[in-house]
Amino acid sequence: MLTWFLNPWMLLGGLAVASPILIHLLNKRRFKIVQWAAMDFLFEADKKNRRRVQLENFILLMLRCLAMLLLALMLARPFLPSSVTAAMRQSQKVERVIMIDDSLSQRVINDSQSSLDIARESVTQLVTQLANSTDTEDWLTVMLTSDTSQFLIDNQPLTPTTLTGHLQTIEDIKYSDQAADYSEALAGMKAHLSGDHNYGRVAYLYSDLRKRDWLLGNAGEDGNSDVDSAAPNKIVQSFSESLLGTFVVDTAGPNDQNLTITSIRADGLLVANKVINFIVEVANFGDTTVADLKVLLQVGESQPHYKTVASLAPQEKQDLVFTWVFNAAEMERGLLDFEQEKTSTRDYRIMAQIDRQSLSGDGLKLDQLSEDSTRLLAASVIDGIPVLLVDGDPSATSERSETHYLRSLEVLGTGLTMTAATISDLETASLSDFEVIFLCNVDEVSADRTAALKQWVTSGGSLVLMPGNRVRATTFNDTFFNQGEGLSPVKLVSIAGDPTMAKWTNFEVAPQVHPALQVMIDSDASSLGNVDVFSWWTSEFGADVDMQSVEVPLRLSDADNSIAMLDRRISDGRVIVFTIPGDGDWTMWPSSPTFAPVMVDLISYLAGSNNAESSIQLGGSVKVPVDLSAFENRVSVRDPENEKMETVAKPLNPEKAQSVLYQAEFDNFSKRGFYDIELTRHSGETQNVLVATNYDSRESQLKRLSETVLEKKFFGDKAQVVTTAGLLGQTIDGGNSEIWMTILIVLMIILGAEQFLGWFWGRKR
Amino acid sequence: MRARAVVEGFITGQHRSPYNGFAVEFAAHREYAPGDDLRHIDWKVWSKTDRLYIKEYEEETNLGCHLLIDSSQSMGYRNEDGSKDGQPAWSKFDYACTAAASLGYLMQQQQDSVGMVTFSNQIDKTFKSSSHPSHLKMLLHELEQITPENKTDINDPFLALAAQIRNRGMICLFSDLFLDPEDLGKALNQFRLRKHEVIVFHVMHHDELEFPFQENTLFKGMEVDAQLHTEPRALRKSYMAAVQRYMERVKKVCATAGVDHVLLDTSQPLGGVLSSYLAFRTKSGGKRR
Repeated sequence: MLTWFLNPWMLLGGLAVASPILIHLLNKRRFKIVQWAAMDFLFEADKKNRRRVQLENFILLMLRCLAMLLLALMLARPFLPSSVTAAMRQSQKVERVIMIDDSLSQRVINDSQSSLDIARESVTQLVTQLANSTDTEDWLTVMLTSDTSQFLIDNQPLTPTTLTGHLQTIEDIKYSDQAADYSEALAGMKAHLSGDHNYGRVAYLYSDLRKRDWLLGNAGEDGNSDVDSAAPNKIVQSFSESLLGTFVVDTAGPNDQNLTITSIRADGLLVANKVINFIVEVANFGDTTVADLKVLLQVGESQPHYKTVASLAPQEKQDLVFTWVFNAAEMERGLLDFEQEKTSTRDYRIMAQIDRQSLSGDGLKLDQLSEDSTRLLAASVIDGIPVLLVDGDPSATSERSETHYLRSLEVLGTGLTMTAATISDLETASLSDFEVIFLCNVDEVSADRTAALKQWVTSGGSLVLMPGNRVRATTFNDTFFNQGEGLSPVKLVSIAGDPTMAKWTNFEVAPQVHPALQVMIDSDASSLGNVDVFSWWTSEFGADVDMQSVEVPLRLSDADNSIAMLDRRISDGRVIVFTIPGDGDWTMWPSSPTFAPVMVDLISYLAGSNNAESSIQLGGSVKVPVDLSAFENRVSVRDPENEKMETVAKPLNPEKAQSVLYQAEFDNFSKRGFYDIELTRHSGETQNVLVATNYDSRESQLKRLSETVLEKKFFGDKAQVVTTAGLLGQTIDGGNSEIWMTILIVLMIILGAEQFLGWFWGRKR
Repeated sequence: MRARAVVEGFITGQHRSPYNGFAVEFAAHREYAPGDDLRHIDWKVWSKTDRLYIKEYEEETNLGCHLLIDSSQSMGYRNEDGSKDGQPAWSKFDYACTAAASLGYLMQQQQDSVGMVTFSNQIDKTFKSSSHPSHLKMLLHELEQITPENKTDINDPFLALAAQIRNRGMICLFSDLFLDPEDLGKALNQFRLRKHEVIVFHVMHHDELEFPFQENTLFKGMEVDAQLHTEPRALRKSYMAAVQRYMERVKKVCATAGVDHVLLDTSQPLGGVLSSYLAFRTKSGGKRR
């Protein structure tokens, strides 16, 4: 019987029951003596009241004694053993709620078994044992951390007949390969457990006890996450209070090691015939230093390149740089005219991998989680940066055209693909095909196109304005400045300078050197001095322009220090405004040595700021912009296993009925590998977008909760941490129901009653 | 001294007291009957009518007043907690004595004779009535010497007293009347039969009326050899009811006997109590004669 108390010795406090009696007796001895004359009245009154007063006093005394006894009982913290509570419920039904962690870290291999295998085996054993036992009537609920919105098994009876089906379900559990979110998963479990029920429940949590899962970002090493009630362990603590038992089953080894590639990325835009650096980050999440670790990079089907990390210390990360040159398409061709084929992109499948063969013998134990040792990158390589040159003053003679000098930049090694166009071509061009658009000596664009240009810039395009002598200031300002609402932050005022070319000015580079103008600084001062500017547009900033987003990297050395070039950022894109044209009419610059390098750097600066992410995490979703003016709205995708799916693009902005910008969204890319998204042009041609899926590198961190944390009742008083072997020996007596709260309430009621009666009977009557 | 202070304070307040300016007042004429004193014949009437009439006057002097003071033990009750400035609180006896002395002083001012008797279960002391000023002093002196003792029992003493006091006069009884009201009625009737004017000053201690005790208390009987240990709060209601019943009976007995009953609460100032009573007497004075 004493085992029903957490502090049995506190029952000795029950002796305090004597105290009210003692106080009562002492009170009786302590009295005032009064010499009284009117004894007759007193005796008369006493005769009438004696029995009543005695009874009242007796009741008060009993209440006080009872209060003392209850106090002692409460402090002794009695509980009803689960056997008793079960008997009281008159039902032997027990629901076994099992949650299994199916995240990537469950793939860790220990003795040729993964953590999930261990969990599966343990659940199988547990369920079999329960199904064959007759002690309790068991019901089974099984859920996975990756998805608590639906259960694998939802409160089904567990009997020898149903066992086979359940075992099959458990056997079929697959890795979700995603990062586990215990807060969310356990909240889902708690929601299930807090549902109405009149039977006992036991919770089993199969977890590999990773620190990352259990300690939220801000929690300290010692598990002091008390402040955060949403911390996973706090959730376990809160629901374990009301359960017959809560078991946290440890499925991982004591000290799992892991080597991983945490990222792979290219520096800069992927353009053919340029040297590209791929930076591969390798990390050691174990606690032994790894020597001579070989890492390979493979592009497409080509021969892999190897690099070796001499030594990688525990918790260390190192970057490896692989260089690669993509060959341009084997195709001789001149300058593309507008009607001709657009710039082609080719997709490469790039894989970085830790060479596990270099980890000989015991070396494999250094990397118990092999899945994250490979990382994929979908590289979309363009033959050149697609640039559209719009000529506002075309001429039959190439040399006399506005874009002559810009066109001549398309030579091998610059990675540029120039497309020439007229103003009327611009009206029909598919803007999304181009990274950069030059408007040379253009002052008039239709309102629709202006809006389209603005939309294109906002979503990452770069526009360069080079007004010349054919531009009318009012038209230009109406089109591009538009009272400060337009693309250009400045309006053109008038043409300044000396048309007779007798006087000239020079460039002045701003102290904070623009990336495109570095060449000017680096080159010889004399060559810079040779840039003669005879005429230019004077310009004026609009009143409402946000100067935070505008930079003026180049000015002229005239008296007013006029603006020569400005750089404005509009969300993802940029607008560059020159106040001089791109031809040699007004300046000597295009024919000077600095023009070509500045323009090439400018274009790659503009294009480089637009490098779309082509690698997502497993389970993530992908949004592909679809320009309906160029493509069909049906978009298909092939998954890594070559299965084809199709979706229909939806308007990006449903409020704008006229917009041709649509978006196709693919949810849940849950297979690791390359997804090949195919867009179809109206002409029937296809264009592909390649997306790589990778494991969430957060799961690579295998550090476990330390023993000291676990010893400090990390999961609360009632949840037990057990091994899979230890689980089978467990009986569910953890679900004792403490009743001190009830006793406390009764005690308070008794004390209240005592006070009230004392007052009620004691008041003057 | 206390008595004088009480009365003088009282006289100044009661300027138009009926006892003020005690003149010889004409009452009525009646026919001469043999045996009447010739001095009282109204000769003026005789000369006009040739008939002999006797002039009758109010008897105003020679009003013998007897103060009967209960000196039994029960009169000695005082509230031990009520002492002030080192002076013990007044007991009922003190209060009764002061009231009696005040009346005595008042009477003496009006040249009435004042006698005094103290009694318990017997007549303890008797002082003949006299209107001499030194007599009152003597009485006061005597009062100070007395300490309450014995039980209250008025049957025997009052029987004896009734026989003793021959002259019709006024009897003022100061007592807590802790006795059977039947006995009281009998005793009062003894006086009424002899045409005495009787006023019962019922002296009750405030504690006895209100029973203000809170703590656990052992009550020891002053006249009876008994004690009671009790919680006063629990008894208060019943006690007060018992007192109330008793008071009703006493009042009824007094009314039956045609005796004035004045309740003196020791917590009330004496002057007020006396004056209110005297005012009441004046109003109803005519009827009672």
